[in-house]
Amino acid sequence: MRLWQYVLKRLLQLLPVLFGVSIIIFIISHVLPGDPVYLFVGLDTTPEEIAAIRARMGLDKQLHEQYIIWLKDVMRGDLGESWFTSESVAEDLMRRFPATFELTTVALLVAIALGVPLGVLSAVYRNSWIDNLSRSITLIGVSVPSFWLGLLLIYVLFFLLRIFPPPSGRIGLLVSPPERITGLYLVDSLLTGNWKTLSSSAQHLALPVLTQALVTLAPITRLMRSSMLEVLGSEYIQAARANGVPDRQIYFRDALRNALLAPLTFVALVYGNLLGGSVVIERIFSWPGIGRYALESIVVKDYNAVQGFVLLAAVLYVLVFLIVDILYFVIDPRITA
Amino acid sequence: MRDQHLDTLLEIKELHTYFYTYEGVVKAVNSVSYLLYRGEITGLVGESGSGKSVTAQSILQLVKAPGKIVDGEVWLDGQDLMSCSHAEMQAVRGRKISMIFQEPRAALNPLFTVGDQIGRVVQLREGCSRSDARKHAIEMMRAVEIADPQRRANAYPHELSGGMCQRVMVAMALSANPLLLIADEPTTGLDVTVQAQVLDLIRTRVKSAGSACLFITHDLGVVAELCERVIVMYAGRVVEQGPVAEIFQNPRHPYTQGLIASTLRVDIDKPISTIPGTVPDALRLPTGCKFHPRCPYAEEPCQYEEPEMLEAGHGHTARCHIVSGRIEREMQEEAWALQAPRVE
Repeated sequence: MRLWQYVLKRLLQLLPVLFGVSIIIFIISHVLPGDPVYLFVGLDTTPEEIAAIRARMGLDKQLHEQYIIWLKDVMRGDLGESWFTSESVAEDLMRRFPATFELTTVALLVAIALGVPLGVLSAVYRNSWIDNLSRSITLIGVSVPSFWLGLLLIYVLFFLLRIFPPPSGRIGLLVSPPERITGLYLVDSLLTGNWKTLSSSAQHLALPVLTQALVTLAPITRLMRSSMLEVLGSEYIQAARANGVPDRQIYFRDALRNALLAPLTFVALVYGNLLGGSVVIERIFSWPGIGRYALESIVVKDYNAVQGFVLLAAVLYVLVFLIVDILYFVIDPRITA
Repeated sequence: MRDQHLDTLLEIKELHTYFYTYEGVVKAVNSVSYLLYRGEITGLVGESGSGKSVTAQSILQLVKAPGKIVDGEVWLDGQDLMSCSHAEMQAVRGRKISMIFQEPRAALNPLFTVGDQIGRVVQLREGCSRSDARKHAIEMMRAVEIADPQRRANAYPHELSGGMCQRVMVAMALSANPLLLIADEPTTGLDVTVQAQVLDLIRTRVKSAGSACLFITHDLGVVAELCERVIVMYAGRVVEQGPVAEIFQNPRHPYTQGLIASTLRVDIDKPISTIPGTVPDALRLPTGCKFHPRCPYAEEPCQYEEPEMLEAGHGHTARCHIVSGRIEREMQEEAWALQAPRVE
């Protein structure tokens, strides 16, 4: 009951945050140099025509008037119209977001599934070969930039070895996407029982997921290792040992739950960031997610699209942290609402 | 004199536990030997860093890296603990030997209820069902005088006071009816009234179960109150041991004398004395007697020759040249040499 009150309170707190974000992003996108109007005009467009286009785009009005117009769009829920796709920004984002969500979530799950056990093993068998191996891998992982790793994986696993399909988006060119239910190809093809699309989308997902997962895995493993080491050195673990608790229980029952607390915040941070689209990876793999949409919109100064994207990213960020706070609340009895 | 072999429970012989640090080898426990007897509480006294706690960790073989037991024997009730396998040692811990820790709240897992934590230890040992273990846990909590144990069993450590947490630790340690109870400064963080209650609890349980207790403390007042025997450690070595009454009345080692003199006493109106100097750097221990730089009686032999543990009374031994009469004798010889001409 108290948890629900807490969640409600946090959701209400979201409103002022979003209001602040909306003002900041509106100002930033409008004061940046460059006039979007000139992207619509040709060499022979007359000044009168330019003024007419400017008026049609609403750019002739005062800045605060433009903001209020946009705010009304936001309230209405469509986030205004994109000048380039000529559709509402909300629709554009909703069409692309599942691609980002699918990639990010699968990658993060892979990173957690590998990183947490690896970190635990590293801590438990400290200074053994497994610890040294995992530390070397993660050192590479934290020092290699994702764009380079992505290109390297494409070169080796697609170009040389032909294990994975080319980086051409979410699904094979000759395979039609599954019927849209959630927008997540894996889920939709499972729901419709379409095995061919399932296999194609899974294969296309593999390389970007691998890239993202490897980059995310490294810090998770290192954090997990140090957190586990700290917990294993604590007095209550010593006390549990003195009470004859077997090692396996020490590691998985007593220590792991405590050791997970620190990496949890980091995972939330990463997830919140990635959900806002990983521009680099989406670009390398021609992934039609919101990161690429944002990049394209910024290049052409599509104000509504950029602002809508930032607003969505802010909401996602806050929601992820809300979920993590709830998790903390569940795991750690010392935290009260 | 009692027949020591009949009621000896734990025998430590020539125990050496070293810490291999980057700066060098710290000999935290250096050639320590002592006996613990059934039904007796033995106080282990010394300043911080004297090796008291490492001794206890060595008995349980829970010395943290980079520490290592280098040499020595530990016999518990006829069982050679040093030759035990990992699994055998696990069976000794929490069954034959249990331990109470200094910081009760830090020694309890913050994410589990205290009922869960006691119950788990019981469950591990008895192999009973969870609900039986819980019942047992609640009984144990009642036995250590925790009021309303049914409700308190559902509390997390942070919801209980320090004294309450220490009772939980005591309940956990005593639920095993251990042969040996190690209490590592169990009352340090507690209020004086709570201290007395916890001590009373430990004494009652040890006496009624006929087990032995190694009580680690730096508080000589507690030792006088609680213990039958006392072992004094300094810089990784035992410097004096014997029955409490004997040691307090007739301390032979200057360090023990200093400790007793520095205890605050209400009944005697005198300023508190202190032992001059500080505990030596564990990496650069002095030669000879480790205490000689701080010793008011130190003579030349003390600087280069470390004394043996020497008989100083009934079951009373001390590691000092005074006991052997070596210093005194030399002093006398010197005095005699000076006086000799005058006599003539």
